[in-house]
Amino acid sequence: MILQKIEAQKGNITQAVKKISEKENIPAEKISESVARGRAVILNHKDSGWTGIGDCLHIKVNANIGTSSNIINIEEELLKLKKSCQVKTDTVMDLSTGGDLDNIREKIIQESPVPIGSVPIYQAVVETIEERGSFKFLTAEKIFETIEKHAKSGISFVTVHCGITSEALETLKKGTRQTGVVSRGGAFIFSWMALTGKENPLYERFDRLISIAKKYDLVLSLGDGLRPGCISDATDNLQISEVMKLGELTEYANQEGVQVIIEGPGHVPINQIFTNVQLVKNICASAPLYLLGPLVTDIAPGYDHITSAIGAAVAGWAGADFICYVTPSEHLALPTIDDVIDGVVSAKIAAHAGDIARNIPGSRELDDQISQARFKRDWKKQQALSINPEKFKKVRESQEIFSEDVCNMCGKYCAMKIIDDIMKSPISHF
Amino acid sequence: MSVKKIKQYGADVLRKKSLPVENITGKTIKIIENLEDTLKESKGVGLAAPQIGVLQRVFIAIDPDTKKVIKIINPQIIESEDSEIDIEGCLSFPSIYFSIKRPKKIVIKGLSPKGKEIIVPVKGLLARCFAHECDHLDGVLIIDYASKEEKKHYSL
Repeated sequence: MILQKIEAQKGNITQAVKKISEKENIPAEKISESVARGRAVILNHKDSGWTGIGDCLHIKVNANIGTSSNIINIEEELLKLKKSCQVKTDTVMDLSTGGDLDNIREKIIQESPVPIGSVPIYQAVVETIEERGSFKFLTAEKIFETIEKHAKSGISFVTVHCGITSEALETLKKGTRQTGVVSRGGAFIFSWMALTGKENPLYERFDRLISIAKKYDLVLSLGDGLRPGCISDATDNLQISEVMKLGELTEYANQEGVQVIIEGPGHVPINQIFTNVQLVKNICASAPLYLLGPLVTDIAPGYDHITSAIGAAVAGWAGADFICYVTPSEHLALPTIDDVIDGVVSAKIAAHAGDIARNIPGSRELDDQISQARFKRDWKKQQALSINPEKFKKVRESQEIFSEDVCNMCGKYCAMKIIDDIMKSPISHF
Repeated sequence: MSVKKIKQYGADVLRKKSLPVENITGKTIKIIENLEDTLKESKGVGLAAPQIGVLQRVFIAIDPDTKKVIKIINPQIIESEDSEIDIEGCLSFPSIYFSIKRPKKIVIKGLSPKGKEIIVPVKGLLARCFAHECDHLDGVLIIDYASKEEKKHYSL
């Protein structure tokens, strides 16, 4: 097993780095240096597809799919995988908690063209509850076995809530938060700790996690079990104390040559996003930062793909590297196929906006190309260059097209056409 | 073939009615060639013979899409449809523009330089141009369509 970080530290340009360099048009040496320093990671998908995430690369987007305990429809989830890849998600996470979890995960990995991530604690908890009635019977062994099973089955990255500690549990009990713990994995671990009185094994036995990661070159996504789940809880002591623990663990992982991603908030007011991103980057050795949004307000259920995209765009500008989509169903229901598409596209828009702001090569050029086509009213080219060509076509063709030269928004009073005509031929002379 | 000086507003020739071409001769072809050279030089869309001082019912126009030069002798508008108002300029009125109502579509009948009868349907800019050139052949100019305010604006 080639360990990407170790190879990069030796100065070797791996095949994965070469492929990412070609795909993103960024020098391989630059990518390799970032990987060596822990500022970028490489996700391996079936030893043939690699995705890079980090400081010198384009911001990536993740789509969460998976069954719930209430709705189990594997075909539907596989369709979500297909649709999210069609709108160019960079990774997918299988968050299934209902049905035959091994079978679902294996099918998703098999059918996916992009790296798949998972949260193994879900399966460990679900199976323990099914087998023994309560997750207080969950064991550290079960958690590590499940993580290894995921890695062995081809999972590229796992969310592991390592920064949760007994100390944090005591602080949490003081009840200073409006919405407590909103991370499902975090809630499982906290509850298990409260029920058993034991320390979080993912923190206590982080070395074991490191061994598994080394065996499979598994990327560890250090989860934010204490991410703020509402505007009121943003940037509080619980969130920051977890980040500080993650900083310590990142340092250890870096020494061991294991690739690490840091997961971040959550819900954060827009004016605190830069501080949050810089804080996490500074504390966690500039490891790639993976954000769920952040959502910049709590008042828009049904529109949280928008509240999160606003936050993600600012976070991308500030230095976030990886954006987890949020769908319109967030806080309300299991996402539908359309929700998944809207979620990915919203996150892709935010990621691209961040890429522009950070001058990531090849990003601004896309805007220039589509703008030129728009000024010329070249609909075919605009459609091909647009973030979701299918949506472009659907909207344009939803009304009778009266003229190929303009759209129905302005009709013959299209500003671009008026100016274009005047510039081409100021006023016709006869 | 040569580029001719375009007659400007005030020149008597612009107010006279042009005569039909009885026989297409080498002289007629030369007029058309001169119109073509002059139009290309002036970067206009259309030009009528009186504008280069020749009182013959001949005009040419350049199709803005195909860049093809359309040449018509003894034109007659046989159909016109709809109308629209647009800003219009004339090579005989530099830097003066008036809003003029013209047909959106017209059909013109005339002769080609080879003497063949042609029927040309046009719309949009070319319809406006053809109507404008036919006016020139009857001594009608864009100022005849101008409102008092427009004339005042240009101190005409």
